[in-house]
Amino acid sequence: MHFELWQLFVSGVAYLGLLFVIAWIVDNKLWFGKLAHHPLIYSLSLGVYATSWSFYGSVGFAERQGYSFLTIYLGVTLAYLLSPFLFSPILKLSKEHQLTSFADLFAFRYQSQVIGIVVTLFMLLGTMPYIALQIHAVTASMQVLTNEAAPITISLGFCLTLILFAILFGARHSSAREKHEGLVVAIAFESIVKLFALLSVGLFALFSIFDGFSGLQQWLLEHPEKKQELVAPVMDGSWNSLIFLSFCAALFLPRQFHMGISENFNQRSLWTASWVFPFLLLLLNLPIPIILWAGQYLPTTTSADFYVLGITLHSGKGLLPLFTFIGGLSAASAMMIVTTLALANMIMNHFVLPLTFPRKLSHKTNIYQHLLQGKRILIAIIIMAGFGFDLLLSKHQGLAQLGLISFVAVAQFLPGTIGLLYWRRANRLGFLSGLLAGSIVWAYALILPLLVNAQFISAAVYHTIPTFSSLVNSDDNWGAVTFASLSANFMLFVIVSLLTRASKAEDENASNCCAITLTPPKGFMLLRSVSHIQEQLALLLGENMSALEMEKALKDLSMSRQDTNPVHLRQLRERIERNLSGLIGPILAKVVVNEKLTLDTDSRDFFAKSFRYMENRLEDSKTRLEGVAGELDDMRRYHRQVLQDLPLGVCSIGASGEVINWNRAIEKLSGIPAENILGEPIQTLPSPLGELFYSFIQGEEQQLRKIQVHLNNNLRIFNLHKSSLISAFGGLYLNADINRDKNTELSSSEGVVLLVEDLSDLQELENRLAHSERLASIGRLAAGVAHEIGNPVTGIASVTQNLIAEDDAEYLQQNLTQHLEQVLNQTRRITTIIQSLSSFSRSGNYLKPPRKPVLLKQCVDEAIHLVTLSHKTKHQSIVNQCSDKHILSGDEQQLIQVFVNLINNASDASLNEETISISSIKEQEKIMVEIIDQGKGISDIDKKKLFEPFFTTKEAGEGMGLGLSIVYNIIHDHGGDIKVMDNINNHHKRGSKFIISLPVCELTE
Amino acid sequence: MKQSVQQLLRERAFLLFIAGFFVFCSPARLFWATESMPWYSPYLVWSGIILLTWLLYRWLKRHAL
Repeated sequence: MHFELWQLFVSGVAYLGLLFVIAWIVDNKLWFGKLAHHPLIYSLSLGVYATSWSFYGSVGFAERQGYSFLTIYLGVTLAYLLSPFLFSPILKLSKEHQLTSFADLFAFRYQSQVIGIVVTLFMLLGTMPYIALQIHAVTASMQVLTNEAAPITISLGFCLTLILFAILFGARHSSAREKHEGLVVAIAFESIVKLFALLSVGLFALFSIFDGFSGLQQWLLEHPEKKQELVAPVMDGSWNSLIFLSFCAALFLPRQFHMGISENFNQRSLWTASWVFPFLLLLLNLPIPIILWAGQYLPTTTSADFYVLGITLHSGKGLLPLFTFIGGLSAASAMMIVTTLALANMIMNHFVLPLTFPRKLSHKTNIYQHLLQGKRILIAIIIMAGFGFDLLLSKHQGLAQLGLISFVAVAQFLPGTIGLLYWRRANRLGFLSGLLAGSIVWAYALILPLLVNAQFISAAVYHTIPTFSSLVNSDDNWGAVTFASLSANFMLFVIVSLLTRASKAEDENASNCCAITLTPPKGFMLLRSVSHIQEQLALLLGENMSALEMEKALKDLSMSRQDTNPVHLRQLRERIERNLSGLIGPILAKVVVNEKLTLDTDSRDFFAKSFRYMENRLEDSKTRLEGVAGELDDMRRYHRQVLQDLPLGVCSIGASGEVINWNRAIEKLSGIPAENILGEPIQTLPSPLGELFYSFIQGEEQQLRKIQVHLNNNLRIFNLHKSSLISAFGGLYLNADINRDKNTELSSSEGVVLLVEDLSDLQELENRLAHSERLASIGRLAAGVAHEIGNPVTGIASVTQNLIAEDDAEYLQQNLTQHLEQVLNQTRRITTIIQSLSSFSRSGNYLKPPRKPVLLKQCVDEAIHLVTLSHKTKHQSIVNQCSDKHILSGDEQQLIQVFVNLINNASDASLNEETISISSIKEQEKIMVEIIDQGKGISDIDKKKLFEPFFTTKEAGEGMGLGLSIVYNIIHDHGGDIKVMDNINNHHKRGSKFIISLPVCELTE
Repeated sequence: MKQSVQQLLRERAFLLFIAGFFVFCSPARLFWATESMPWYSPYLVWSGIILLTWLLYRWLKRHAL
């Protein structure tokens, strides 16, 4: 059976067209829009690792080296077991800094454009044999099916077709930072196609050629050497070398980085890939021994490399060979498309752009179009270079040999990668030296023989120099080359890194790359607004690009154009740099940003901004910190939570007056959310808080008590406390007691902590309690009041009745005035009682007692008058011995309430006929008022609790125990003090003495 | 001090790697690479490693969410 070339060509193009349609549907979200995000699709897309080498070459490899063909996949399995150490950190770094290739990664880490160039060149050179292998495999497979040599035009046609599809798949968007969802799904589909193709051939070989498992077993029993040929090479020296090479290939091959890292949508997909991808490789390799034996069993004319196709020709039907051909084409084309895209991106970022990026873009320049066109041209050049390599150099080479040459090449990046992730001391000189040494050994051992075989170098000339194999003299050539090249690489990498110093930029990036650390920012933006930043960028990138990049960065950070917060602007700068890195490479991005968006590293409020910036970074990187750093971060979060949950308003202010911390309590009492005030000067708070806080911070007082503030049409009462944050010997101390003398050499203030205590509710409660107590007092007086009012009413009634009953007109004429005066006196008496009660029952102003002059004697008289309304006090003597010259400053009603409570208590404690005296003396600026009784006295234990709310020694129902507590509060609100002691006199130790001290009214001075 | 999930993952992944290295790269491969073993024995060993990897990431999914 054979096919025509045009049939194979048309089938191939149709299949590639199908792949493109799948990619297009997914990219345009017509169907299965989110399919690319599924971990299974991501894992299958990694199957691009299995190229035509796996599809065809594994069988040939198995024939020559037995089970050694499995090493190419076992190394990958082991590499994915180390995902948490290798793939995860690289993935995180790449995402964070928008790095799209290993060249970007190394250039970023070692801060060198030269490294980007060298890595790109070496990657390109090292991958050429692999690309040539694919072209070679496809054309050779056509030869097997058509039974005629494929003309060069067919290879060329294949390459041109692939250029078209590579551009369609990956060069429709300008930037490598855009994800290609369609490409991911198409490659996953391709993996399934080649898997099914191989499994189909395997099943065909097993059931149609060997008649099932029993037939195969029988054949193996008859040919025991077949199993021995498979098993023997396992213990060869090359086994471990090949596993090591495939381990490195899983990491460093451009297509693996592209699909595994650049096109990764979700970090968690890596977890699934860690077992799904090796399982896919296992399934792909399961039929290989069966196909090999089938090929050896049948009279095929193909080489072992193409047994896969050769045995299907015995099926008698065209479908299986065609499907198998499509499987091989799928494997080859996927590899070429993805590798070409990856290499084009690297060459763009590290060769083309650094050389051709205009110094200044005009408004006519469209950089995005420039990048797109450049990428397309590069795709064509790379594929044609692969074609040239195949044409000139890859003849007489097995597929596996060509692949292994690439494997040894990419393994040279291993030392640099270890330095990137785990060794901060590694520097660019060390990396370059090591890479050059390794590449020289690689070229000498592997490329030179290729050039000799292709007759680019004369064999005679080649034999004048010692060959690598003669120098090494080992059976395991691959192992020897790998060992020699990596040894030279590692040695020079380590020695040169130790002997030379890294630059400052390298040091900074070393910390960023070596997993755990979060470096504080080195400065903040000099530019103060988003529009200024955009203007500066436009000077280099052009207005169009600058606007687009700014929009993207603002959207990524959910930032507003009006935001002027320095911490947010710093983050915006970083985001712009990262986004540009995905477009033009990390080095060029850094150049653009450093040139136009300069930083101020000397600002005085640097600490405050850095604090906020680091808090944001720590919040973002919650899962990155481990070990001691992780523990410290947990402690920081705990303390921060405590601060946030405090019922006291807390705000810390930096040295320049900007707000650093603003907890939930102060958010609630001020009505201002934290995000609106953090980083802003304290004065920008809305009035009246802004002025209040600012003047308090500037003032000398450490505390302000009972400040009344009108906030949102409500009267609020605050206590304010502050403490300075002192920086001494590089540390930070919170020290309220330190001498704040500004001449102190040891200290310089780093800001202030402000505590705001909201007393509004408490004050409201106190007001209500005092009013309740006042009303309760009136209630206790009710019986006496009724009696007192009853007496004059009785008197009025008597006089009036007498006048009505009086017949004597002359008597009436002479005495009417006198009787009417008696009535008037009685009404005056009633009026006085009612007025006293009425004014006493008013709640009074407890918030801030108005400072008015109050005559002490008059106040006490009024209190006595109220108290004597009670029946009990009628049999006691209450004497007012206060001076009529003593004048207090305060609220008269509140002071009357004080004396009413104290005299009432004295009366309750005293017996009939006992005396209660109230006297006053003046001591300096104070008036001392003494209320003395001869009652039962107060025990020492009770004295300690006397002024506590709800403390009473009376029976239930006789009082709430609030009287003295209210007295205490009123006295203190008036700036006075009250104390109690025993009334010790010469005759007997009985009674109590309350001493009140109150400030003299200034008007009396 | 309780280990984080990340630390546990790293430890277990490393142990699994050692196990894989042991069965594939050390002289222990003599146990499966002999003529007396079935021809598919390397695939069985390989499947075992993949199964252990699957179990590891199943554990991780449960604890990391």
